[in-house]
Amino acid sequence: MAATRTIAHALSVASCALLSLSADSIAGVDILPAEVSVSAMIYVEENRVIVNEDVVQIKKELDEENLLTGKLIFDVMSGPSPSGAPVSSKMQTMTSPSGNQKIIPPGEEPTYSFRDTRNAILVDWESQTSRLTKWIHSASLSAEFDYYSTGISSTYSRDINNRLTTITSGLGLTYDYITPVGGTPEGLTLTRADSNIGEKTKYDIEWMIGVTQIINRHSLLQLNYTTGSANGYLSDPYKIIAVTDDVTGDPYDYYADKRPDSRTSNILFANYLLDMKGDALNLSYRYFSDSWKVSSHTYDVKYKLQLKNKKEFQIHFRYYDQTAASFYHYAFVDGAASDVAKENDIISSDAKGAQRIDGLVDYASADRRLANINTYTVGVQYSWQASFKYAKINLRLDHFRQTDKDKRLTELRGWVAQLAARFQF
Amino acid sequence: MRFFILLLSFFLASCSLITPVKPWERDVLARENMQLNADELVLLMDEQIYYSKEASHGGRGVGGGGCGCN
Repeated sequence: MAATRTIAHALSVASCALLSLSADSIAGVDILPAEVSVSAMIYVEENRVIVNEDVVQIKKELDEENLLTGKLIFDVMSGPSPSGAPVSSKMQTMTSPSGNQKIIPPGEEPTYSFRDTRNAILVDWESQTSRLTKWIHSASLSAEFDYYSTGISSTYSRDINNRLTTITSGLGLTYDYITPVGGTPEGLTLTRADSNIGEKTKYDIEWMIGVTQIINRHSLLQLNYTTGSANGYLSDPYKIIAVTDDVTGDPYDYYADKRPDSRTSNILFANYLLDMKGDALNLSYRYFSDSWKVSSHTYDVKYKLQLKNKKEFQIHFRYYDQTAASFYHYAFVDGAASDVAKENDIISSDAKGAQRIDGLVDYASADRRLANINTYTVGVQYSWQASFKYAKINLRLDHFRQTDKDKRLTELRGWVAQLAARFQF
Repeated sequence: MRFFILLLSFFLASCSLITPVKPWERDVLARENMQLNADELVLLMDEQIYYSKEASHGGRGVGGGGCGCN
């Protein structure tokens, strides 16, 4: 009798695992008729942006084959964001997108202050179409004051090789509508000319194929390849680039950011999970490269320590390293007389006093996100279970530092604190 | 390219270590801390944060919703 019970228990565990490698599916089909998760996050940058983001997620099993997941996301973002203009030894007068003038003291990084909210809804419908196959269809809608985004995607997965291997393929489409505060400036024209080329749109298409392989009883490996193409308005209407004097190095004019209107990207992603006597080691690596000549490596390590009474403690380390986009410039340097400017940053002296510089360069951006940067992140997470509705609670704290490898931008330091709880009903 | 080759080599090497796992031996892989998308709301937040601070994004899958992300 005891042996029968043991086998029955083993089969029950196995049937859960066989349904999918996904925790969602395991939870959705056999364990949880409904699951509610809530999360509150605060993201703080030193002297810059603060973001508060709250999420409510509900997973509801429709029947044994279908699981519906809905997420509501509420963001509030505010604070100073870098404009792209360089630090100057002189006072700078800048105009914010909303038309207000701001005086930037000497030696201070020019920023503009903003406040925005974002509300988003994401819905996933997961359907187990046969014992070995599964579809996930998703739709998303996101609204900010100046940015609207809609997206749909479908992902198909099939288990093969005695369910040791899962092949996954997905297609995603996104359409964005952009209505910048103060209008959309024409790229590479003087910001004080106050140009406006109206509302803009952007389309994204992404396709991925992946394989997840169970290596042995204690480890598995996932490998994904994704290719994407974005088309439309890909510039940042709030970023500017300065032309500086080749002798003093001080900026004397500012032009609107202009990026190519298409961008193709290729991504390789690998994720390895290893059981270490109850603890879990999670290693991931991502290689990204795109037609803007950005290439990056992301290494992520998480070690989750299993403590007594279902408590967990996780240590997290992430390292990110990227090369600059081909059209990234810290600032343009007028003329070739400067011996301190990078060759890539030198622009013809015809730029002096020019209303527009699109006859001199095709594209230009001083957005630090396109610079030669790296990011270090360290974090900890503590999880525990509460008796109410089988609650699992997570508290995590991450700290990151982003550094310009060319040592021209100020270091960006940020903190992320997040409290999340999951309840089963 | 060399990273791709390295990655592919790692994958093939791992495949050579594959030991068949019977259905009743999947208790470890069914554990919550052995799921690829464990702590999904943490992953969701992280993807959005780094999307707004770095030039690269994605890799885990498709979809998820866009943002202006200043």
